[in-house]
Amino acid sequence: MPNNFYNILVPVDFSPRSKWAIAKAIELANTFNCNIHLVHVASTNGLLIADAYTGMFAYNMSADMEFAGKKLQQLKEQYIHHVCNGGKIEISVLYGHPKTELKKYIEQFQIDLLIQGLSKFNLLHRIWSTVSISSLVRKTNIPVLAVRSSGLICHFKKIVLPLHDQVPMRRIRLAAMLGRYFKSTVYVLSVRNKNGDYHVPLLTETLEIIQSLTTIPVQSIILEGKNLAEATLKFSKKINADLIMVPSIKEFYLPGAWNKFTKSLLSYKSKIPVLTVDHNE
Amino acid sequence: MITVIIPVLNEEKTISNVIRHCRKNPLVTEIIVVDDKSQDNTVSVAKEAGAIVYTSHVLGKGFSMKEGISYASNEILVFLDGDIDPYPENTVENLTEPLLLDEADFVKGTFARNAGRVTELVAKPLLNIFYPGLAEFSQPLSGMIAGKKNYFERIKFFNDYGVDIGILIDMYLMKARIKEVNIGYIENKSKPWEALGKMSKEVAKAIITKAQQQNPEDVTEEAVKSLEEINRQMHDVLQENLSHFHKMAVFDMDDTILKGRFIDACAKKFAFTAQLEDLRETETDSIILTKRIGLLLKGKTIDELLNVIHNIEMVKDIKEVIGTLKKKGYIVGIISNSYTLITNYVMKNVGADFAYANQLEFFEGKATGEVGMPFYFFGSPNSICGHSYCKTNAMQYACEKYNVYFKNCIAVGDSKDDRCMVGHAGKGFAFCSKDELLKKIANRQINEQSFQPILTHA
Repeated sequence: MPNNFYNILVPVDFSPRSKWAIAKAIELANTFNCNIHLVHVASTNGLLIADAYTGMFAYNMSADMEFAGKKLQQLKEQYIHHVCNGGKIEISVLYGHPKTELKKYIEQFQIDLLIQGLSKFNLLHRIWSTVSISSLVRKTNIPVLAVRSSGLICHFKKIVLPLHDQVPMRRIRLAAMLGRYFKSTVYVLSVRNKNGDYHVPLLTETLEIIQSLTTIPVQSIILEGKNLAEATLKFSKKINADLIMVPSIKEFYLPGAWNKFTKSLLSYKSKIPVLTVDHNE
Repeated sequence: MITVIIPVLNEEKTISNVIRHCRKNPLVTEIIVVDDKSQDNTVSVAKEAGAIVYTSHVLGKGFSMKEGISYASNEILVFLDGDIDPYPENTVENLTEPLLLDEADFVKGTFARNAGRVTELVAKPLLNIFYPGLAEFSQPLSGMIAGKKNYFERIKFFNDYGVDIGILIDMYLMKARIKEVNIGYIENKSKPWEALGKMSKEVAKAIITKAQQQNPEDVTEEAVKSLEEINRQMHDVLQENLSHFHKMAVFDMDDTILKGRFIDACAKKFAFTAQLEDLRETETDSIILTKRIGLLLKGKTIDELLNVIHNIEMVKDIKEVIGTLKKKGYIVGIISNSYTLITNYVMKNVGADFAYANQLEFFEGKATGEVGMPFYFFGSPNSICGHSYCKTNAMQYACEKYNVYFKNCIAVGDSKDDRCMVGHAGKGFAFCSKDELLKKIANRQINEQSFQPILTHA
């Protein structure tokens, strides 16, 4: 497990949401003394990191990459003074399919966390982003933190950890690590199933494991509701949570046919930062 | 006339030659051997060789030397070690000549040698700071000395590795005329690193204590800062040099490397199984439990305990697997709640690089029942798990020491005590574990008595 983040990746498309992501990355980098990698993937099929500059015009790869390189350099110069504690900002321009290129980059530079800025108003991009987060998590096997607005995130005082049907070891490890840094409380949630039962052994086991790994305070909560994602969001808003940690599985899709079709994880609707980890927990 | 004093402990193989060497000098009229309660035939061999043998009333080289002085009838005294064979020709003559010619009151023997790390790294830097007048001595820790009895009688002897440097400093402070003479080449074995730590501490303690006694203001802020800076620089260099490992594997010992638990085997052998079970059932605090279990071993000798561990079988392929891990660039360690005496034995047998465990205290070769708990087991504000006493804290200490990320760590354990360590390591293995929660925490399980599966993930 990471007992620390050493390298944080921010995919950059030069939109305002990239800047939110960079701002969050800097906050975390200053907490964990780690490096930030700003990466732009120039691509003709903009899905995840839609290339805002190619659009309807004939695509000129070298011009695009050169332009992106200059913009990244400007970003680096703009943010370098915000990074303290010895962290560095690395910049790279890649070409190819975004997910494939990011996966290669993540493996090469041993990235521990990816931060993705999400649009506030662009519905289409929000749907795409969320879908992409889900597939990116599956493909790269690293946690993806989705952030929707500027503002401090480095105070993860209340971490919500909803349970499904197995002990979420990866999320527990991450929560234990973040919890030690931020002196957080972890709220472990379980929702009653269709028969009205809830998974007591799973809840107990999860609590016991968290206590084996860390001394941070833990609370277990049993929620009413049919949809885990919706119940989690409702609870998180109620307690004013700072972070929700979910796996990339369908049980965490929002309710409704459209959400099911677009595979919308709860990060689609959440104003609270959502950390998505691979479902193979 | 000259008296030679030889403090000894279990030196039957060399003592007769040392005495014979002394008797070659016609001025030596008295050879006193002060025995520190040897368990071999040192006393009879020394008597047979013609020495007067006294048994020391208190253990320790310093006391033996002091007692030897009180028995000596001559004014010129020579101190020799009983374990050096052969001494260079004319050692006694060379040491006593400046005294007989009244050119010196105290003579320090220096010799060409093949070791001296504590001298160079500890004694000389400290002497430079506190006693610059002694910094020129090439071997301030040498135990081959000679001097006038009336000077020796005024000295307060240290009773450990600090004794020789303590004598030198006292002579210097008494304004005795000190001379260093070369007596030739002596084969002197380097001490193992475990002994170097103890020696460094005692030598440093002797120098600093003497400086403080002499003039408390001498141990100034500047001196303390100089020492801290030297330590910091040495530590940084060590860190840099150790940083090439990048990967680490740590193993629990009981029921993991060993096919059994050391304390259970002791309980069986020394018949305290019922007491041990009682303790395990009633005592919930792990620190107090460790301390109370230690008390069950009170009075057991080192040999008895080593005999117990010798009879516990190890997992067959442990040595081979550790060898392969090391070839792959891993630094390999043992982290155990057992005792260093045992973990060091296992470490040497399996070829591991380090072993972290509790310290069972011994006095005169027997366990006192006291258990010292090393600092690295205790939590700090930076502790990753926050537990006050935990193997993870020791693993974190090792990771920081060898500059290894937790995610590049392999941890192997079997019991509840290992849950945290296994959970925090990048790759955790539950080894033949009966603990269901540990199995869930670990990334992988090994259900056979073999460590080979680790290699496929290393």
